[in-house]
Amino acid sequence: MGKTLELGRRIELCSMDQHCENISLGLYRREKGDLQQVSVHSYAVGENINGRIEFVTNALAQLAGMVPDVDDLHWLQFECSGFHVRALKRCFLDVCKLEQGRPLPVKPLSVQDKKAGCLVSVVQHGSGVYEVTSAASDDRAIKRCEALAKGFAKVCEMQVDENKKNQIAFTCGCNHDDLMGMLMFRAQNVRAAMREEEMSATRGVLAAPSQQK
Amino acid sequence: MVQKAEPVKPMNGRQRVLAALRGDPVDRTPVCNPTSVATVELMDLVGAHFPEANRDAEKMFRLAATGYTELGFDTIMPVFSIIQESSALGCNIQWESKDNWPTARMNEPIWAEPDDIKVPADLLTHPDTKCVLDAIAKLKKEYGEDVAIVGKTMGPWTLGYHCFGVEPFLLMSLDDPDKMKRCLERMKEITILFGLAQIEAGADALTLPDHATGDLVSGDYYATFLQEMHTEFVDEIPCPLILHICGRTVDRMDYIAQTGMAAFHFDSKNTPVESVEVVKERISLIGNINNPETLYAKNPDAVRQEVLNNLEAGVPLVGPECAVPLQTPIENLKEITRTVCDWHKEQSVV
Repeated sequence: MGKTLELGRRIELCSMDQHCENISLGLYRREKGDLQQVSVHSYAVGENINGRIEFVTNALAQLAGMVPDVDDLHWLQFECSGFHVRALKRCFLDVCKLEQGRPLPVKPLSVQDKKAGCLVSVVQHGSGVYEVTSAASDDRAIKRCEALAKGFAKVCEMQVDENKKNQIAFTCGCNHDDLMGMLMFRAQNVRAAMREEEMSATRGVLAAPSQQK
Repeated sequence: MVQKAEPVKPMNGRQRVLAALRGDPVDRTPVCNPTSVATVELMDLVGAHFPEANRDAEKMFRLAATGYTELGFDTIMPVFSIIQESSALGCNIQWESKDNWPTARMNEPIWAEPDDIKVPADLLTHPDTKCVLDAIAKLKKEYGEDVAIVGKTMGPWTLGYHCFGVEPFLLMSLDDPDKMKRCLERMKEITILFGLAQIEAGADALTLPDHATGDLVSGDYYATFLQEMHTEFVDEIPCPLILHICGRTVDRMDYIAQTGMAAFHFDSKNTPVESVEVVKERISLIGNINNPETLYAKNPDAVRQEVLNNLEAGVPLVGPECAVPLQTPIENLKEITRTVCDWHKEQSVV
């Protein structure tokens, strides 16, 4: 009787996609053997929906550095065989903000940073280890690099090196340059990212009249 | 509750819910939605989105039906919001968008005195109340044989918040309790009229939310201002009534159990065990799966555990504690019905 599908667990939701008729897009997770895979799905019906799902899936693959399952191209996985859920959720929400058909250039690992007052870069050292460096070497820039490393630690669930506070690492031990580039802006503005998450968590939750404004 | 000594013949959803509301034996615990299980994904599935699904009978019908067709609940509840009659009364409503709830602008009160309270001639023909009646009639025709159609009529306390504003209304209860009672008495008519119209349209039972919530109103307040009125509703509105009050309410459950209402829909801030102990089968309980932490944010395993807590405590009807967040995952809602069915299968094997 029902039309809903068994897609695994929904781990993130874009409740209104402004670039496609305000449809809701879900990011669903399933396990295939030891692997964790994700797929984008919408229950909306319409001629533009499949195209939008395809775009978001491709954008997620390209910008977050994921690859499709060879048996089912709708399901994506990280090449490292790990699962970076927090980073993935953030990437998904950001990808849903992209206009349909927009080019998908991989994001650079160096950006101008206002707070550092110079160019900051994320330098890959192999085995999933990254160092945040700056073009300037004053205290302000050094502290900013450490703050950026902390930002990455939060949005990507990376570990900060206790002896070198501007160095972070993925626990899977693999490199994720695409993911780092994609989430650079979020790591730079981590408080805003957290606030957005908090606001999103309360939207759509019905409060008792006494709690409403 | 399951009566092991005397097995009950298989029931359909409607029979099951109505029996449980009467306190009669049932074949399994009914899965009941007295408030709302609408989600943004279900809206997409049937092409019926907020805010239109709160104002258009056909869309309201389609979205409400998913509670049964997709989630397997034993009830269908088409009145997702709590502002339908407030809109008809003249409150300014912020209808919001697909992913948020419509609310009454309570900082723009429409009444200040008992004499201000007027029941408009178009209360039941206003588009925002008529759509409810039309949706119920259509649901009754389409699904009424199989599943219980539950309507919703707001109690006078909630209407007071909407029409007088929360703060002025609560201050009135302190400054001039008699005036407050006169206001409640007048607003009672609205609750009754809208309830009767929904019964006539085909509702099998009615939820009566009256937000004398635990955070703002004490148990004694409930006894002073509402217990008698809620008792009167039982006589005035001839169908099973499900009282809904959010928050910690165990301090007033004894009073509620004396009203004669068929059921009390209780919040997860009250444990199933303590709630069952207080009401002592004088009233059916509908509880009480947590919304913001469990149904919205956790996984089916966590949902299952809360459903089991209710079943094991002897809560006669199970469902979400209140209107579920619009972003709630479908798999978590489906888990409620799945767990109830699994648990009963296990009980019958033991």
